[in-house]
Amino acid sequence: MNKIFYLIKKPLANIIGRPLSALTSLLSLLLLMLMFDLVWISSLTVDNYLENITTDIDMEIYLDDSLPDSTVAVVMEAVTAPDGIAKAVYISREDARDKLHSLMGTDLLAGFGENPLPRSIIVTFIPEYLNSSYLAELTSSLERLQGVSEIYYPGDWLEKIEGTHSLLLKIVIFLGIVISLAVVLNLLYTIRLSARSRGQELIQHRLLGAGKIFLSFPYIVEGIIYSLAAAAAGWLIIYYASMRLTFTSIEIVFPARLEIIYFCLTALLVGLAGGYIGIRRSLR
Amino acid sequence: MDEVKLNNDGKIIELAEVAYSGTGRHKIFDNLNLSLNYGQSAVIKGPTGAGKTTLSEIIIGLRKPDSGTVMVFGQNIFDRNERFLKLARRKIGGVGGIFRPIEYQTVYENLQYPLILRGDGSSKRRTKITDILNQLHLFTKKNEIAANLSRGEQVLLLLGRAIVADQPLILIDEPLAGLDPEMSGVVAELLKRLNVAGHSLIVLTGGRTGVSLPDAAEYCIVDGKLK
Repeated sequence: MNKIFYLIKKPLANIIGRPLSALTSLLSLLLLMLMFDLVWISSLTVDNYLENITTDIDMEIYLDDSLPDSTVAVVMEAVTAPDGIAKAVYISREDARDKLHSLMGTDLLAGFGENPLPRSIIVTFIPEYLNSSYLAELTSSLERLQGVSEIYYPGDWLEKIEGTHSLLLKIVIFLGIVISLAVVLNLLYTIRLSARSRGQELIQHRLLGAGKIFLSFPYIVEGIIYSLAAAAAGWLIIYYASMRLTFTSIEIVFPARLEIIYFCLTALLVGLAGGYIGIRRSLR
Repeated sequence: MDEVKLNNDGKIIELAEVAYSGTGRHKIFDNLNLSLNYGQSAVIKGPTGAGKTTLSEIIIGLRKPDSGTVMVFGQNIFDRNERFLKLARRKIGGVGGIFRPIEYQTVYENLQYPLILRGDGSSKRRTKITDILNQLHLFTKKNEIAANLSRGEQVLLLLGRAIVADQPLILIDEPLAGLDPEMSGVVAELLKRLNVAGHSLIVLTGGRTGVSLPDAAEYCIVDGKLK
């Protein structure tokens, strides 16, 4: 119990004993954590924005003029069969004409003797299935159906969104790795400096029979304290800022509370790793 | 068994045919032998560079000899695991050479670490340390940073650390070097008392020790051997 009490007290004493360097380390870690948090929030926000855009995508399947109305139901059945179809709505020639009328505000086809608009089926999708490869595959299978004359969906646009999304993901992963690495290195050198400044103490304590684990423990806890404090402070700052700022033009998406807890737990592990690697060399 | 068992009938330390070259070609020790019973002390003399500090580093397990055996508390410390070495070190105290007070810590903090390692509670530690500080006339310096102590007081502090940790073997490197005559007398008297109380002292010195230890074996390091 006394040893445990010492092991808890010691890292705090180490931090308080070097207030300026502790503050420097904490601030630099806080900056890194804030950068990570902002990258994370930005990626979630852009992700959400792109997802909102893609959910509006639908597919228009135009039916051949020669297809008898009586067999439209067969085509509809074939169109709704694949997985990923949320809804399929049949648009008759008259429905198309009404739609055009309401869209343009005037009946542009009044001069035509016969309604020239084709019949069509408007298909909407389950959001998880909305990707260019699925839609391309679906298009090629639907094109083989008898009575389908043309299929249209904004494929190029979807590919551009996917490209942007993929690029964004790569940037986020890259920044995530760079920032995580910077956090580990920062912690490592913080602990190494802390151990170096107590080199005499480490030598004497080893001579007095302290084991490596016992000697390492306060430094590992020191690493955990820095990392956890910086991670928690980063989120508190962001929470405070989000309470005071109102965004109207774009919806800012924050990670879920549980994800923030996981992030702080990861920071704890990073602190542990940084502390362990930092002290290891001093105990050789 | 990793536990360090003190067998008062056996040898506290036994170095047999120890050879050590360090990093250079020159042999610091060549066929060095030393054997001490529990409670027996030794004064080892040797000029600067003869290897006095190296010898204490070998005994404490910091340097491994090229050949030979180093038995401490009846066991070869270099054949045993890290745990044994750790427990053996808790029984070996030291003054001078590699053993120094932690300068930025207070006298009290310097003394309490061996007791923390032993798992003693804070009140037990306080009682024991207060008692030792009173014996050493250092109580008024309890909260003084070790760096502010005089050389003599630092020697007393390290001896206090060995007493508080109840260490049966104490390695003492140049105990009276740099001390004024009055403090030399105090330290010499304390060493004598420790020896009489049953501690085995190994006093390493460059010249005259100024310390008279009853029944202490006297050696000189000559050509890497103890003579």
